[in-house]
Amino acid sequence: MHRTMIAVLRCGFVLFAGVLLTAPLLAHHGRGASYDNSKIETIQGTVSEWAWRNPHCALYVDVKGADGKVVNWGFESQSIGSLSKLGMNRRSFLAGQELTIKFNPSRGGAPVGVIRKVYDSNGKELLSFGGPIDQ
Amino acid sequence: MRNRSVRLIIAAVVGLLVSVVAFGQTKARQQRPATGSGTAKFDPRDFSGFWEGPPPGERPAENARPAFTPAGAEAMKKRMPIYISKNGRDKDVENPGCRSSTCSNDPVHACNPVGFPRLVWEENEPIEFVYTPGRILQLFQWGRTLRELWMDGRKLSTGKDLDNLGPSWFGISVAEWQGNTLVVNTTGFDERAWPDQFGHPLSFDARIEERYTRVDADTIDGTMTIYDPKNYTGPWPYQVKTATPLVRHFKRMAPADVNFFGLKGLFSGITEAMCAPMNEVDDFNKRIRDRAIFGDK
Repeated sequence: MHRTMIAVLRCGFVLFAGVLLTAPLLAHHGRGASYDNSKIETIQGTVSEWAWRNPHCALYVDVKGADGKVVNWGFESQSIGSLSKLGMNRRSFLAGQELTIKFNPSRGGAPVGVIRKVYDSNGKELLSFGGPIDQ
Repeated sequence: MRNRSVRLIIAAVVGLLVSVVAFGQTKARQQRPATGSGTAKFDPRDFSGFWEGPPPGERPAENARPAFTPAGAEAMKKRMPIYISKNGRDKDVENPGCRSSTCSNDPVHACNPVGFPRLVWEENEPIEFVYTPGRILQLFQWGRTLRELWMDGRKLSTGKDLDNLGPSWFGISVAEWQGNTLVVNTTGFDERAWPDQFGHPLSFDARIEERYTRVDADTIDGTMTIYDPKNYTGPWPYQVKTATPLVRHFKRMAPADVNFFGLKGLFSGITEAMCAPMNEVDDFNKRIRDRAIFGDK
């Protein structure tokens, strides 16, 4: 009974945390119209810039395609205040760092997206936003 | 000589111990958990300190307003919000094609001031209340700006006085205590500003009344009514998406979050959260947001 209750509480906490993390995703206007929130894509690349700015921090990553051509991708994230709540700062990503990024792709098809999760080259999760994802 | 040295050493040790204890107590005070149960004693007329609104999901509700007047409907036709109305009655007055910051004429997308009431009722960045003689100041982290609530008995600006003052992004606000409820009235709005993300019109002559009551140590409940006969056919008790749709709940921020580099990222009070055009319009929108909707063609 006791274990069951703890399990229920844990599930409740996870759901609550998911809701909390999802809510700021809606902040500061217009994201849903620009990105497909129902899709998650994954990409690997090298950080070219981490723009720590309000109202949208942005991560730029050089991605090498199968043809050897390098494309600079841009990923938008949250405001400084929202990211600070998650422990992020202006040195969380450094130029030259290898990252794997899961993101919501743009509706327009350009190499841009909204960050959902970021992992370092060892698979360690560095940033998670917008609640759990299944992919 | 020896006794003096001993006394000095004892004094130094005692001083050190006192410092350590004092530091420990300060640290303990600073690291108290976030907002408490709300059952602590409080002065219902003391709003001083740091507060924040509910999460963005509890933003204003779309369909709570009264019907437009003909002038209001005409004004609404010129608004192109990113938000697309799901409300049938609004479809004829909103631009159906606009879905990005590029084609929307929402002034915040060009980093214009968010203004009042939007900054108080739509954003959820921290707000600090500061009491000064004759005024209560609201300091906003978003836009790093302030709003003055005049408490010195002056009358709400109307007619010729208001006309002389002219429009402003935050209007002119006077406030008074009615019992333990702070009643704020504001006039003199800049008609270019949007009161919410839906792009509703708000006239220069409109009056907005806010009523704030500190219901427990950690909560201020706010209500707002818009009186704008130029644009709406009746008073508009503003609603938000909560279980208590007429009430916006402002929660007290924990000292650990506002005095140090804590959860809110604040080092000392209200920090800077500016929308600078050179960041947002000239850089972010061009490099990311506009490409997201239109692609690179």
